[in-house]
Amino acid sequence: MMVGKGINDIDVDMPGDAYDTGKDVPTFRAYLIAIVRDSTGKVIKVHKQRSRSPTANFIGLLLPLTWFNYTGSSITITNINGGTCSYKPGMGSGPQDIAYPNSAYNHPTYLAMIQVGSGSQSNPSSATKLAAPIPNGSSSGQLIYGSVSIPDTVSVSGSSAYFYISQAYNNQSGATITITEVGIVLQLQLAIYNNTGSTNCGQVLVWYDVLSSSISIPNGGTLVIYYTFTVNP
Amino acid sequence: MSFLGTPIANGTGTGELYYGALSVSYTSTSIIAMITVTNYSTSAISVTEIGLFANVYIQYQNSSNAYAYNTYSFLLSYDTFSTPISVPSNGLAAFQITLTFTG
Repeated sequence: MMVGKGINDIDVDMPGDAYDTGKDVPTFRAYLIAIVRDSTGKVIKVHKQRSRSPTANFIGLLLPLTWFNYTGSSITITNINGGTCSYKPGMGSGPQDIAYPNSAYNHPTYLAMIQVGSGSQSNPSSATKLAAPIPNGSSSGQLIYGSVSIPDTVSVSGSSAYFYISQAYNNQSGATITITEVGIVLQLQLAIYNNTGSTNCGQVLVWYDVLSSSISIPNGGTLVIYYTFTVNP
Repeated sequence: MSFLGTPIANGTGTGELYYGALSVSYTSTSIIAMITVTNYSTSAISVTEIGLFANVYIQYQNSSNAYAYNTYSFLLSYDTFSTPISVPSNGLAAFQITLTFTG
């Protein structure tokens, strides 16, 4: 087959609604909500914003088997400590796939935490960790991380459906702590179906947001962060 | 919604379209799926809806210590076209669905 300049002259009418007009109705949205209470339990701040930032790790883990089979390629997952692992799922006894939660075999993949931090970075999709993560603890500059909460069901209302994850934090550091960034972190394990081989990829950042305005948690106060994922909002 | 209203079967007979292989690519924030369908029938076929199906495979070792897996298929996205797309006899059409997770 030969292709010449004439290829540029082919008259193909593009339907108007195929262009990004900025007026399309989104079918998927994510929201970040933060509620701050003081030491008496009084709500002192409610923060809401659109969440826009899946990371490259997230896109890679979501890629279908078709892509791996067709390209023969693997992708590199980078964890929050800078370690990497190669991900190339498949069928049968060779490939290591995302391990289903199963504590009996000690090969779990699970939602580790919603991590908060005090930094920011300009290209969230390439982020592999928070810029300045706030550690878990009660010392200066630390927050006590509660357990991450995951719903058992997806809520459905008409054509809309959503679920949310949440986590609470308590400030016992002795001073106000300000957060400016938030991320969702998975504990990722890859394993062969019969557990004859596995790879611990560690904690992997899959979603990242810089807050539109900073949030301060007073000493003795609490913060609860909700991430809501919805289709047909 | 878990299926198309009137799915067009894969084949070369009347009312059927021949489905090519699904190709997938991605960017930092999107996953792009594309497929080409060819109309080998003798009449034009009008396409009015499109859906992207996903399969999830759960692989495990069964009670006989043999390899086994379960497949869960579901409709991931669905759209009706603002205007029907007519694929003429011996013509083909390429469809692309982009899943964007930001914006």
